[in-house]
Order: sequence, then C-alpha cells, then structure tokens
Amino acid sequence: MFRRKGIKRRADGMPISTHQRSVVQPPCLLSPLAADIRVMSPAVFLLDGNVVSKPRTMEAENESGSDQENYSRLVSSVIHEYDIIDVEPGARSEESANEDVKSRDSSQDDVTLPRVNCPEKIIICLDMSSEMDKVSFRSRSGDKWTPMKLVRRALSFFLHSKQRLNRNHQFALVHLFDKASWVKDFTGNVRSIISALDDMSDTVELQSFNATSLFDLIHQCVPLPELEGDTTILPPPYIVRMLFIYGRSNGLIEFRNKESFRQLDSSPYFFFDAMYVHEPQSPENRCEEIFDRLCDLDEKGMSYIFEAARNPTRLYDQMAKLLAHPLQRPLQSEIAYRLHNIADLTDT
Amino acid sequence: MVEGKFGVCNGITRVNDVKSGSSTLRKSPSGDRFKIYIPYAGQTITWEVILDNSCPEEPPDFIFEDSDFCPNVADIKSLVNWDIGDPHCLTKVIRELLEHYKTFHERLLEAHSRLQFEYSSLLDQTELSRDLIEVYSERTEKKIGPINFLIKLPVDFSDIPPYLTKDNPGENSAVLLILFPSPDSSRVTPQLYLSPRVEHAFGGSGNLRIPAFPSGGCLLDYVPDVYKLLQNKVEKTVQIYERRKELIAAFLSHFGRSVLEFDADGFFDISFLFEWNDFFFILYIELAPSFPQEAPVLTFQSIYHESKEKPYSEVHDKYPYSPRWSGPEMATRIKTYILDNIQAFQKQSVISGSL
Repeated sequence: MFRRKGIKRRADGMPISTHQRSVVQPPCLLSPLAADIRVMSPAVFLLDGNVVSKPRTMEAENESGSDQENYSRLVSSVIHEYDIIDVEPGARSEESANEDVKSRDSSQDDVTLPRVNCPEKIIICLDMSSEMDKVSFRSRSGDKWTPMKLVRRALSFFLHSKQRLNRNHQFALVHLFDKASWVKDFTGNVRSIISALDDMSDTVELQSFNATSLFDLIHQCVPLPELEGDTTILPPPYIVRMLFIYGRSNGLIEFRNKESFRQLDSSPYFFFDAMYVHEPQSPENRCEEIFDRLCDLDEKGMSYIFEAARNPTRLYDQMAKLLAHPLQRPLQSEIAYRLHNIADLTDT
Repeated sequence: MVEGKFGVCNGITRVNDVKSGSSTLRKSPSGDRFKIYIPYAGQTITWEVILDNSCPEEPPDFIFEDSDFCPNVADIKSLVNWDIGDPHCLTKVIRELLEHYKTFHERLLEAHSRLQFEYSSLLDQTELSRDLIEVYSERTEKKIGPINFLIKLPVDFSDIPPYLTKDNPGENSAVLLILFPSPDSSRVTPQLYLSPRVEHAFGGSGNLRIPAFPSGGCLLDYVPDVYKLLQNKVEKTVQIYERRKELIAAFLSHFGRSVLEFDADGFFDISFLFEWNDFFFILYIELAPSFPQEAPVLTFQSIYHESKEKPYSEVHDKYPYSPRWSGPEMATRIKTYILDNIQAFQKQSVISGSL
C-alpha cells in the first residue's frame, strides 16, 4: 500500500484521519470509517432538539511527513468547526439580546441565564508539578519550551486581553501542590498577577492530584452570587470561573469527596474550564485517561476543556478560546473561528 | 397597632412618588407619635403625627413645621371620617393635608405679581396640569425666598432602552427644579433631575446640558424649551441605540460562533476570536456614542506576539464606511475589510512583535 500524502496509517494499515480542518461533515453522519475509529473518551451527547454534540477527544499528533513519530491511535478533529450538526442558519443571530435566551444546554436543569457580559471572577489554578518544567513543546524551527514558560506567557496574553474586554473582570491565583493554596486574591490589577506568575516558587515532584482539596478551598473562599429576582433576565453581579491548568501526563486526578464541587456546580453562576498540557499521548502515559477525567467534571455541559501537547501555537490558540465569556459563548461543540472569503459562501 | 400605622405610612411613598422619592418614619419611644418626612417641591417637610395608644379611634393630631399652615380640621374629610379599621386611613389624611399644603403655597404666591404670573401662565398656557407642579416659598420674618418651582416634565420615555438592575429603577421621569432666590430676582437657577433609567440611557448625568435661565426670561418660555430639548434627546438616544443594537445583531449573525464578549446593555462593543490559515487573532469592534456618524473602531490584536509588554495590536478606524448603510450591510463590508487586511496584520505582528 502506498501512502497518500497527509494520510497517516496505523500499524495495521488502517488510516487515521489527522487533524482535518477543512472537512465539512454532513449532518448526523459519521464517516464510513467510524467502525474503525476508536473514540477514546466516553460519549457525552448533549441533546437539545436536533443538535448533537460530539464527544471531546484529544487531538492526534500532526507532524507532517515524519515516519518516526509516535502517532496516537486517537481520531481527532471532533471538536473542530464544521463538525457541527444541524444548526439552523442564523440560529445564533441576536434579535434582541436583552430578552432571555434559553441556556444553550438543556441538559442543565432548566436554568436559563441572561446572555450578558457581567464581570467575571476568574480563578487561575496552576499545576505546580515538576513536569511543568520539563521541556516538551517544540516549534518547527527547533525552539524548545517548558509547558510552564508557555503557559505563563499565554496567561499574560489572556490577562491583558480579558482586561481589555472588560475592566471589571477580576483574577485570582491558586497553586496546585499536594494541596491547593491561594497565592493571590481577586484583583483587577493584571500586572500583580503577572508578577506573581513571574516570581513563582519552584515546582515539585507530584503524583496524583487531590481535586477535593481544590474544590474545598474554592467553596470555602469564594462566595457565589445568590439567585435574585428574575434570573432569566437579571444579570448576576458577577460569575465565578475556574481556569484549571493541569500538566501531568501520569498523575491522575483523584476526586473522592465531591461535596464541595457539587455545591459550587449547583450554582448557575459557577463555571469550570480546563487547559490540559501534556506529553504526546502514548502507551507509557495516562494522558487519555486524565483527559477523560477532566471532561467528566463538565457535568453541566457548559465548560470549555482544551488540551495541547508539543505544539506551542496550539497552546496559545486554546488559551485564547478560553477568553470567551461563559454566559455569551457558544457551547464548545459549536465554536467556529475560521473566517471565510465572501466568495466561498453560498449565502451572505 | 402601631406597626399597622407604619404599614399605612409606608404606603405614602406612592402618594409622594408623584414628584420624587419616598417618605421615612421615625418614632419616639412611646410608639404612638412619629414624624413623617415628605418630599415636596424640592424640600423635605416634616410633620409630626400624634396618636393616642389608649384610644386609637381618636383621629391623630398633627404638628406642622410650618406654623403658618393651619388648615381647618372640618375641611379634612378623612380626618373627620377617621376610621381606624381602614388600613389606608392615615394615608388618606396625609394626602388630603398635602393638597391643602399645596394650595397654601399657591396662595402665598398671589402677593407677588411676578411669581403669580409665572405660576398661572404655566398652568394656563402650557400643557402642564396642576398635578405636575409644586411650589414652595421659604419664609422668614423679614423676607420671602427662596421660592421653589418643581415641575414634572411630561416627556414620553416609553421607548427608552431597558436598564437591568436588581433594584427596581422605578418609573421614568424628568423633573425640573427652579429656584427663585427672591420674588423679583433675575438670578434664577434651574436643575434637572432624571430618574435612573433615563440617566442610564443618556450615558450618565453629565451628558445632558440644559440652558441657563435667561435673565429677564420667564418659565412660560423656558420650561417648554427644556421639555423640547429632552424630548429630542430621548428620540435621538433611542434611534442611535437601535442602530447599535442592529449592528451588533448583524455581527452576531455572521460570527456568533466566534464571539468572545459583547456589550449586552448598551451594545457599544463586540469582540471575536478569528482564525485565518491557522493564524488566530482577536478583533475588537467598538462603537462611539456618536455612532452611526462615526465609524466603528476596529482593533486587531495578536495572541502570539507582543510589543512593549502588551499584545501587539493595530487600530483601524479609517476604512470605507457610510452611516447610511444598514447594520447588516455594515457588518458585511467590515468583514470584507478584515479579510483584506489580515495578511498584512499577520506580517506586521511578526515583524514588530516579539515571540
């Protein structure tokens, strides 16, 4: 069998579709190769009328041309744009943004929230495991970086951009060691967070992560706004969003006592987003399992869960996607960033 | 029973809301006499209400701050017909007393021809009715003044954009308070008070300037001028609000799946994350209060390169634009402009920025 340009093959000869960015999937059809494609994460289908969102999976390696690369057995491209099924054209048009817009996810119990850009309190939860200081990201030109260096830089962009979007957003910093600990309380002063990131203590060799301690800490320290008045119209004074940045390829996320998490998650004004940086997936590590565990934390279906390995550009891209305001952004399964030329569109 | 009276008195807020604000209560330790503070004509008048705990069926006595005000009890029907069983009994009395108080102040003007003229000309020759005007004269032994005219302007606020807050912003109103230092003074000072939702729609209290009262002028000319000014401002505000909303809606229908944030209150801005040939960038679109006269300001921002410790960005505010275009047309043309300029932005961000 000869290799077609751009198509990678597994050891047994079956093709793996690589990160196809310009494929437009027909509605509700899986590709004919579906049976051969191993979907690694549990299927999480969010049903809202005809819209079926696909499960999150991690992206396959996308190094063109190199035989020696250790390719993942995963199918990627599920998260990307145009995999979206059955969205009515203009479904996202806003006739009147002030009227209550049904929360985009009907799997969350009937809480409809106003689509307003209220201030956010964003808690950056930064993994302090020593793996964050191990070089694993490379550019084509041969430059190398540790995840921590890239994450700090991407966070700096994130903070500046978020502040530009709204001066009233606030940010806090939590370090994840064996237990979670607050480093910086909520502030709108972006420079102080950036310098806290610059002056960090050293990372430490850590194994599994105790998620209970993190959610306990947050539940204890961060009050959530009460539901007042007509919650479908009235904006809350702020919403709380966790930005969980995890960097362990082998340390599992242990979550014995979910009480605090349940309390937090039961509020419609609480959101959990995650950015997972890791080694390329392989039989020697547990990235896939960890990623699945992360996705499990998205019980309401409102989270953005991203991952990146090896490719620095992708890390910056994913962090930028996390800028989107939880009350105004589309579901992760519906995001689409590509700009088309006008000529490519059949309707305008 | 005293609590019952409190309930009644809190009902007074509605009576006095005709102009502004609400009344508050304080009670002295014995619990059956208290003071009511009532906003009237830009002042707060204090009346003391005296009931008798031991015989509540007896109608209350009143002590008025203003010792000249002494209405004939027989004229106050709700006092004559005092019925302790009616939860609104006190409210009715206060309301009637206020009416008398208002008449009392109207009469005081009769002694001063200029003020009398101002008042009666407003009533006779404009659309203002008596219930929209309150007058008050401060009196000392030697002189009379300042004299307040509080006028509620009948502006149509029905199309004002919504103001979503937890506290009820209340009814929309605009109230003009005019102060005459003395009956014949020419240094007349006007002040305009807007209710919260109206003020919010105008973009803050600093955004509307009313003209100074012309020396030698009269209310008959001045008040209608202010009224017209306000009415025009309302119409203009509503129009440009609708234009902004239309444009933001058009952008959302094109790019809703890339949205980062947008101003859902005044529709002054919207931002997107875009990808072009694997190159991601942020676009901020900002509308000035003078939009649609002024074109939206577009800012491209890099997510990879920085310049002077901030993300590299470029502001584009001069591009083909016409305020006459509809929202959808503007959105389409701006989209074309963006596509035409991304490549240059990308190149520039790599050159000027650092990685």
